[in-house]
Amino acid sequence: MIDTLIQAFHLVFQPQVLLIMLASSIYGIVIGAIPGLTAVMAVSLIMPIAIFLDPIPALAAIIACDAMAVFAGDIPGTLLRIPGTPASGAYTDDSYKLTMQGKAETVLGANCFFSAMGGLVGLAALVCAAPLLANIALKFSTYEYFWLSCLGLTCATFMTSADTVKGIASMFLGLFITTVGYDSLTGQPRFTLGVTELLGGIHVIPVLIGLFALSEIMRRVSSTTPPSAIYSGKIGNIYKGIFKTWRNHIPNFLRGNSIGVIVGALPGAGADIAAWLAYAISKKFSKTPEKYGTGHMEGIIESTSANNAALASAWIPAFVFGIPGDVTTAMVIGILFIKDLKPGPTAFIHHPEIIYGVFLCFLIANIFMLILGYYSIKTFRHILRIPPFVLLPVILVFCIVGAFSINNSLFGVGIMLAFGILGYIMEENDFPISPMLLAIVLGNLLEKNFIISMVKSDGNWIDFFNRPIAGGLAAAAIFLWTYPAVKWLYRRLKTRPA
Amino acid sequence: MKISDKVFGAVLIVFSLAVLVHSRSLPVLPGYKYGAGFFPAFTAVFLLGSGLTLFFRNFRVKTALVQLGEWTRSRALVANICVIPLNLVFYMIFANLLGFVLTATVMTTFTIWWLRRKLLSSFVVAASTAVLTYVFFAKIMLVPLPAGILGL
Repeated sequence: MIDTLIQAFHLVFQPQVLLIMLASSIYGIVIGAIPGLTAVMAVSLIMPIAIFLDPIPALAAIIACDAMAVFAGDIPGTLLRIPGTPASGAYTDDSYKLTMQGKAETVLGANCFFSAMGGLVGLAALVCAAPLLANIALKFSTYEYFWLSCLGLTCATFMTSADTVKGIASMFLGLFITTVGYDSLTGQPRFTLGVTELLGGIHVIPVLIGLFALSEIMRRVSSTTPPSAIYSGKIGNIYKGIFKTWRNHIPNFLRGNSIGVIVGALPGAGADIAAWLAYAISKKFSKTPEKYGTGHMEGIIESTSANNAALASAWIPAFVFGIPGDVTTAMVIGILFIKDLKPGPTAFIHHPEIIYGVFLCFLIANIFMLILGYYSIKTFRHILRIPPFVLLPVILVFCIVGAFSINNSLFGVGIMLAFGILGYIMEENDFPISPMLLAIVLGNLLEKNFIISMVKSDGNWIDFFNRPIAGGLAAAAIFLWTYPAVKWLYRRLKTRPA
Repeated sequence: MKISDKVFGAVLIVFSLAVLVHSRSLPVLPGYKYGAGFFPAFTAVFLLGSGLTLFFRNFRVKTALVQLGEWTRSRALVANICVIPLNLVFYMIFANLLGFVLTATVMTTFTIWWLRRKLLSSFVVAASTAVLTYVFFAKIMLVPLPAGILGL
């Protein structure tokens, strides 16, 4: 283990890696701080560069960019009342109202400090849980992977969808997309419509750039929302009195981080859900729930800790099972496959230095956050001075290069365009796009494990439930599938006149 | 722009039926009932279920099939949203002929000018973006971006 750790140190503490992390951090802060541009968009635009880097610099860039963008989303939320990213949306009202009460420094300090602390707690969970779970996962067969994929897709669909039917449709459309191209078992081309470029399947990178970046650009250029006024007061030392705030809110800090770690580790959930859930639970257990939404620190601390804790713990299912914890780790899995580093329990045996390297990158990213966060808050006004109508066409150029560079073909740009329009229409009509992306990442794994399991069991479904872990995972998945129907039936029977 | 669930439902029903029909024509693994068409058919069944639910769940409620959004009342905003996909179509048609630098400069200059109406600054931003992106990706990352007539 010590040898592996030394190897990881050698891989991470290289000037090139540290410079890439610094540049990605600054880039993440800029994108996260601009209202409307999300952390997922920031990460999706870094993908074209990450593909050409070695594994550790690539993963370091993604980790730094994601952590900074999620934190930076708090800045416009606090000063403008517009959350920079959806993860900051839960506590924007409280943050802004405290700013209006002249407490901007305290709120921004809490945002930065508790985000970094949340990231470190998430890292601790990743370090402790991942190797333990990897040992268990070594015993997994195709049945367990099949049920785990089902569970991941179910969580992603149910947790990100206000309308479950639309979430299910989005998820199955994603699964269908993975069937385009050669079938890995029979070698038969499927749904290619005679297009040669489709024989190799639809690559996830142009799809995600289209779904998350291009659709966002289209939404922003057609937005009718007028720009808000920026808080014009002076911002001094944001860390003044931060330890006192921490001491006074230890239960909130602990609960927020616990929720963040658990929600992040659930396949398919992520920072956004963690923040909203942490805020709701904080309010439920608070002695002063009436103060929430009027400028109250408790909810801010819990949610801002939770969203950053979730970022690190989302890597647990991604590393251990190859099942993404959120959209960002879905992209990470794509990168790992491109780099020929198959995620899963065997990665802990074959490439432990990469795993430990990722742990170190998280540590560095959260230390960077404390330093860069301080300066980014000071320079926030300059970031907002970048006119969006200049920034968006420039981002469009990066999107083109990103989509092109996957296969060095203009076909990738066409795929991005198609999915950009699809993503725009879907979001405008309340179809969530995260389940589709997670399904595209998991589709091949699910199909392969499903067909191999069916062949192994000779079509006998009982074999899917026979092994203890597979049975447990199946029970959890079936419970989640049937729960809404059972709840509906129970309510109907209860309200029925005797 | 809000499209009625009935429209989405109908599209999903037609799409999933087409997938189901095509899946049946795909070969199976020798000696087994499963093959290339099994999983697509499995997804199509659930898409069909989702389509039917969307189509019928508010069937009796009369709503417009397409409800135009607030932005459609402004010609400028409609044009703004159309400019983005048109840019990509322009790039796909002209990139191999003109090369990345020229195509990206022309489309970005036009887009920024369209959105802000400042030609000189639009050109400066567009040209510097195209050149810097080209240098970074084509020269450092060795992505073979289209060279075109400039032969870069």
